[in-house]
Formats: sequence, C-alpha cells, structure tokens
Amino acid sequence: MDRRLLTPEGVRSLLAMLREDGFRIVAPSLVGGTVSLAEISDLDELAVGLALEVAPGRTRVVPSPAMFGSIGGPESLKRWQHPSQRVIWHGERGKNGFTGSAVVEESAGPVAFFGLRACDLAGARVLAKAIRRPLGEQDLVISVRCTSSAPTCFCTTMGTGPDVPEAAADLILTEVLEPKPRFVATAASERGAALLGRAASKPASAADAAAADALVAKVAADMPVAFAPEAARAALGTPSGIGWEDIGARCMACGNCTAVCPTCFCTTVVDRTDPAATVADRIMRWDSCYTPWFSEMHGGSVRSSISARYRQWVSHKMSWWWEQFGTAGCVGCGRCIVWCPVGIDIRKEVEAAIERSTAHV
Amino acid sequence: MTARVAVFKFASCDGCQLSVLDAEDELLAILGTIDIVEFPEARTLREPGPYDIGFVEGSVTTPHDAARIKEIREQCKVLVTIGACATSGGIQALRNMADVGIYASQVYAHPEYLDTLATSTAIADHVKVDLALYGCPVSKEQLVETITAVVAGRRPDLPSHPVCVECKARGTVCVLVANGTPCLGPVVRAGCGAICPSYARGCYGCFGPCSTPNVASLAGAWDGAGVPRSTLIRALKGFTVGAPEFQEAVRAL
Ligand code: SF4
Ligand code: SF4
Ligand code: SF4
Repeated sequence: MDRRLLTPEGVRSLLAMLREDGFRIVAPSLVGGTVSLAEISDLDELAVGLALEVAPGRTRVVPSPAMFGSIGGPESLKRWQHPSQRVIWHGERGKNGFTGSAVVEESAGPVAFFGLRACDLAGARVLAKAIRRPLGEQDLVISVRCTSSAPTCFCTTMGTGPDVPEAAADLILTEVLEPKPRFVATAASERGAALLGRAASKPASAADAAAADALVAKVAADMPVAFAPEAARAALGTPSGIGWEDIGARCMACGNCTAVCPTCFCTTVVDRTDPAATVADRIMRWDSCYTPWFSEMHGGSVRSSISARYRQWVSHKMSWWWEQFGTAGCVGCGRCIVWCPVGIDIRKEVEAAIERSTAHV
Repeated sequence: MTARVAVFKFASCDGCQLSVLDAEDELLAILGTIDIVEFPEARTLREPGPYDIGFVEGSVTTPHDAARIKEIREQCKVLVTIGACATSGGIQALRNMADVGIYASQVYAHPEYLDTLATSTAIADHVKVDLALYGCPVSKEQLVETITAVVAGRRPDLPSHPVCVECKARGTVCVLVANGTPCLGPVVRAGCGAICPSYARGCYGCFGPCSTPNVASLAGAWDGAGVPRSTLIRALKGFTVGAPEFQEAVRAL
C-alpha cells in the first residue's frame, strides 16, 4: 500500500473527523495517575507527550519526546470486547407467571480505537477466539507501531510484535521524531484509506518509510528473547507439582494479573433478585483462576493453595491454550508484570519451569 | 409468608444498624417480604423469637453477652453477623493484645464497677454463624443482597477474594503500582466495591482478611513503596485487629 505522511495536527484531525462521524473514541489518556486506554469525550483528554516509566509492580508517568510513547497501561481492548460485568438473562414475575429471556447487548455505538500496539491487537485476536466475540464490525482501529519498548515487553518472544500486520488494523501509524515529528501512515483497509484520504497528507518518501521501518526493526532487535515458547509449552504441558513453593510464597492470589491480561477471559455467573422477588437477573462477570471459588467443587476448592493457582494460570497461558485455541494464551504485553503489586515476572517463572523440567529429565 | 427478622446489638458503635436504616430505597421493597420484629436502633417495641433471620452486630466483651448470644442462636433459623465487630471483634479487640485492666483504669473513674472479659471476640467464636457480612460498616448492597437471597432461598453473592478483584473490575487504576500508595487491598476481603482506591487512597482493611491473605508478600511491596514496617503493623491493627490471620501476620512481621 502506498504510504502517506501526516503532521501531528493531521493525526489530531483524524480523530476529530472520527468524532464527527459519530465514533466513540478510545485512546491513551491520563487517568488515575497513569496513562491507559480510556474512552475520551474530548480530544484534549488524549495523553500527548506522556509515557510510562515501567518496572515490575511499578509505573510512573513521565514526559516523553514522542506524542504517543506510552506502553504498559492497565487497560486493553478486553474492557470493551469483554466487559467486566453484564446482564445475560433477565426474568420477571408478572400477571401471567414468570417469563425470562436472554439479554442481547445493545451497542453504545461504534468505537474508534486509537493508539493500539501490535500486542494489543494480538491480544484482541486471541481473546476473540476464546470468547467468540471479535470487535464490532463498525469499530475502527488505528494502530501506532512501537518505536520504543518497555523493559516488561516480550512480544518478540511470543511472535506478536512490534510490527503490526496489515490485516489487524484499518490505519497504521509510525511516529518519526527526527528531524521533526511526523507520522508515516499506512492505510490497511478501505475504511482506513477513506479516512486517511480526508486528512491533509502528502506522499511519504522512500526515506521516510525506511526511517519508520528502521525504528520498529530496532525495537524488535533490541528486545531480549525471554524464553523459547515451544519449550514453555512442553515444560508446562504436564506440569509437575514440584518447585512451585517459592511462587506460592510470593504470589498473593490477588487476581490483578488476570484482570489486566488482554486474553484472560474466565467469567463466573451470579443470580440476583430484587427484594420484592419479582425480578431476576443472571449476571456474568470476570472471574479469575486466583479466586478461591474458581475451582470449587463439592467438598471444597481443588486448588486451595496459591502455588496451585499460579501453576494453573501460567500453564494455561503458555501450554494448554495451544490445544484449546491453536495459539499461546500470552501475547507478551507485560501487563501482568507491571500491574502485579509484588512485581511477579511471568518470564522468570516460565524460565524457572523450563529449567525444572529439563533438570528432571 | 413474611420472614420474621431480628437485629441484635452487642459491643459496637451501632454503625452497622444504621447501614440497615440507610438502605431506605430498598427497605420499602424489603418490608413487603420481611417483618422486622426486633431492632433496637429503629424501634422500642420488642417481640420474642423464634426468628427466621437474626442479624448480630457487635462483639462479645462481657460474660452476660457470652450467655446472651447462645440464647439468640437458639432463637434464629439463619444467623448473620454484620460488621467488623461481629466478625472479628472490632477495634475493641485491641485489648486482646494488651491488658484490659490497664485500659479500663485509664477510661473509667471506677473500673471496679465493670464486669468485662479480657478479650473482645467474634460471634463465630461463641456460636455457629450461617452468613457473615464484613466491613466497618457493612455494605448496604451486601445487606440487601443477603436478605433478598435468604428470602428467595438462594446463595447470597458474598465474595471472599481480595479487594483487587473489585478494584480492577470497576477499572480503578492501582494506587500501589501507579503511585506507591500503600494499599491493603491484596489481603483484604472484597465486598465494599473497592471504594478507597477509587478515591486514590489505599484500602485500610475494614473488611478484614480475604480467604488466603499473603501479608508477608504484601509487606515487600509496602517496603518497596518506602513505608516503614511499623505503619503496616498499625494498618493491620485496625478495625479487624482481632482477625486471627492479621494477628498472626503482625506477630510474624
Ligand atoms: S500473560 Fe501477561 S504478558 Fe501475557 S498477554 Fe497476559 S498480561 Fe500480557
Ligand atoms: S502473580 Fe501477582 S498479580 Fe497475579 S495473583 Fe499473584 S500477586 Fe496477584
Ligand atoms: S489499589 Fe489496592 S485494591 Fe486496588 S488493585 Fe491496587 S492493591 Fe489491589
């Protein structure tokens, strides 16, 4: 596809046009002392020139030379694809007895997702497969390719980034800072091309395009490979109960990792009735393999220890997910590392499991 | 048929009973299915048992109360403890780690008139409890949910997992990770709706320990946030100081 050059103002104008077209805008925004994806009602809420300084269990907002430099915020597309709570069935007691039916979710309008990274899009694909719910057909995706990475990123290990496959987005932007800030834009769908055609742009020169690609290639080259995914799949496929005591002592089973993970999809269902006992709702909401009741059966929980719950989580992500859905359940976004209050690093735990499994042979 | 409901008070501040009254919107609908026959905070008329549901507020701090809770248990089909005092002994359980005689002599001119136990204990330490509502005070939503569920004959939705689960579900940014604000959320029982973090402050633990609290690990995160250990110990010695999990953690820290 041919590539165009946009100014920073040109990028803003894209978003302004989308708003005029009636899209809800989800974009990086400064919320709760961090930069994260959020629905914004005004373009001034866009987090511009801010990034996150990220470490296991810690983030701080810092200024960034790049317009859209932040990586690692807690929210992913899951918030919109798979809301934390929704009513799936509703029943009422009326004159003619009790009637109930499934609740079909009403769309709050098409969403334009702006600033998504390669791992975000991979996460949405993996989640869509698990819950059989892709993004809405009317939704639009503008991706920003990574020209920097966080120390918690391992997309190259999981084969999900940092480059963005064209099939994953409508429009793909790459921010080039030198000699002056500009965006190389690739329309990746007809709708993306139509949108780009409405903004003031000029053709990107071969040098501009090469500069953009080089930045993304450098991110890929500089990112250390965390472990071999095939080795992880094998090591955690028939997990041994040995060697998990240490993680059991550190993990708090707080469920933050599963909540921020773009692909963790487990839910529970609860029934609610009104005090007058005339209305009943069945509510589906996020659950986590770390909650005590997740594995509850008659007689109690089959994974009562925290180490057993951690083992379940990491084994599903890295191994059993393959059998279930044909990919790994992890896209290497690093959110679980960043937002674990005690900074547990899945890369290290996987590495340790691989080491243990080879030691046992 | 309406369920006969009673509310009983032990050593407490009455705040949880006020939570019942605070559920005014739901109360009218509830009153169609239940009959509140005993409720010291709301009415003077008292009716004898047996009761279908008995709510117990407060902890056991006197020999008289230790005997009274046994009688109440016999009168109640379903016994529900409400609040930090009833579920863990309340702030008054600070005496459990001290000498109640010294406390009493500092507060009362004539402590010899007092007939008090050396400890403040949870209701479950004395009788079998069917359901427990935690918090200081209890959550109005959990209260309404519990009455509604018991009347409808279903299991009430009362989680035992940590506050973090609710915090993330509502989309609050973690104050501990994003700001280094000490938060007890990872070891504290959910049910409040993660109110404190949504106001950018840490959870201070009024719901008491979650089902498998790992305080030793959380202590590391508080260290990392530059908080002295003495602050963590004080935080654990709050409204649910009497919870065995927190007492053990304090001893180990
Ligand atoms: S397991 Fe962790 S790194 Fe992998 S996709 Fe989930 S949050 Fe991202
Ligand atoms: S790994 Fe971290 S975030 Fe996940 S449950 Fe354990 S302590 Fe919580
Ligand atoms: S703010 Fe507190 S309760 Fe919320 S996720 Fe962080 S540690 Fe857990």
